[in-house]
Amino acid sequence: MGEEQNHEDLAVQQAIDQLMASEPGAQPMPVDLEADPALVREYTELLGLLPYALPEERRQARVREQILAQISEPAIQRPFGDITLVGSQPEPVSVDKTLRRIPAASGGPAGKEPGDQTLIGHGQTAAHPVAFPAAAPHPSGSWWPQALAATLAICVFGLGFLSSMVINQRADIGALNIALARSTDPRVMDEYTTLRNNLDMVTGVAEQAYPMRQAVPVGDASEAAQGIVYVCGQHQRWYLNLRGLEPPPSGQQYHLWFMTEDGAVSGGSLDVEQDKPAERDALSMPKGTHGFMVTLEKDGPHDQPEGLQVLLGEQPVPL
Amino acid sequence: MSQDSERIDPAAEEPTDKDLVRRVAERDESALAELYDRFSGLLLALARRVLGDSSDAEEVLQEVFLQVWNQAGRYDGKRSSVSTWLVLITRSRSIDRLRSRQVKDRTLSALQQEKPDRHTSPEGLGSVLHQQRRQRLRREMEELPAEQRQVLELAFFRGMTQSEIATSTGIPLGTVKTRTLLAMKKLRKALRAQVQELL
Repeated sequence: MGEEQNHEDLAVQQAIDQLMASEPGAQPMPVDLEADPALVREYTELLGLLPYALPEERRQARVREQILAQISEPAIQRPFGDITLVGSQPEPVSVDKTLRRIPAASGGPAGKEPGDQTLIGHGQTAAHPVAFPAAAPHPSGSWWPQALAATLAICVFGLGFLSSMVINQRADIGALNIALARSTDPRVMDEYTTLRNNLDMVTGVAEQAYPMRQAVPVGDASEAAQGIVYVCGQHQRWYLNLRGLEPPPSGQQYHLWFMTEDGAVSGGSLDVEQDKPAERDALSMPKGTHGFMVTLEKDGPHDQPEGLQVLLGEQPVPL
Repeated sequence: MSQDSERIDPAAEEPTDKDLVRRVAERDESALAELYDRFSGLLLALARRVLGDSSDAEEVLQEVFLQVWNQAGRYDGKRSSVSTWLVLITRSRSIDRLRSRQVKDRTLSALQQEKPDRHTSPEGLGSVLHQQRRQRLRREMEELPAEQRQVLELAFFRGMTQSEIATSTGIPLGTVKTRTLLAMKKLRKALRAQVQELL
């Protein structure tokens, strides 16, 4: 009887563990060979019955129509691929492996290194750049030069444009496309490419934004440092853009941290250059991330934040 | 089974849940619609229970069925019933959204304030089955000791690990595990027939 009880206890625990492991971003669960699979299955089904204890909701005809309308449309390009099916084993999140730094928007081309998987259009690699659409013909040309010049000036000199124009994302992307198609300056084209790709990524699929507010000023910066982290669906892909940070003092470096339920998880160091935004993006983040922090640490790797807290973002804004 | 050729056995007319999933994998939109009609009330209740917000719950419901549409071919009937499969997908998405919204405390107050209008879905064989399950589950959950029901609900509807439950409630981890075990075993014994239906 004691042995039976142990087997049953194991089966219950394994069913519970499998339930936890089925959550997005969870670590794969090692298989317990001692638990009877049939018993584990029974307990899994038992867990699946729990919602029947809830009062049933009214069937939503509108949601039904939306679902059927979406599946009837031609296949929509999904930038991040299919979502991992519950029950399959998600790959463990390794922050060091997934983090990659995209170059700050500057003169150099973005993401042109061999094998670089940085953002180019909707999840495509640098080897397959997005073909920008040709500029649409316009009925009269008198207002175009001024509009183009204004768009160029805004986009080149104001990255704050990104976060402030989120609501008008379609108009922005359209303007960027047109300006990019018309521009012949390689530096401007590179700048546009980066802005357009980032704008597409953050406004096309991002669901939340975490404004990063300065906790403590560093150096003699007259402008307060600030930033924003865009987070995409399923709490996975994210993009960070920080502005106003002074380069770190000698012997120190800025460090990014994911705030999770288990504490701070290192996101690696951040390179900050004078008068240039610091950017970072990755395809995933640690499980349970609920905020972001930038600290000023001594040079070298860090497992825990020990230095000055410079920027903090804990209050997400839905997009 | 009756030999009367004029008598129609409702069970013979209704496709099984697995039949529907198989048809969804073959891109049969009507099968997805039927799955929605059978399970949306249950899944929406689950999402709403986790999120405490109707509009978020509806969005999760939409995501769930789009995922079903895209991944029906991967459903493995040996691992779980269709009902459990859908429940676990919904739970997973709901908890993920809950965490990203940082609304655990707001969820509780929202649940206390909202009193949604309920009504049962139209009659049908699947609906009757669900109604029976619902009545049974409700009764058995109510008969669980409150402390056992609490740990089970925190784990399932709030996505809390046993360690997190122990920390947030101040109950020793061993006690949390014991209560979970007792609750699950009690429910399994009481709901044996309902579980067997799903195997």
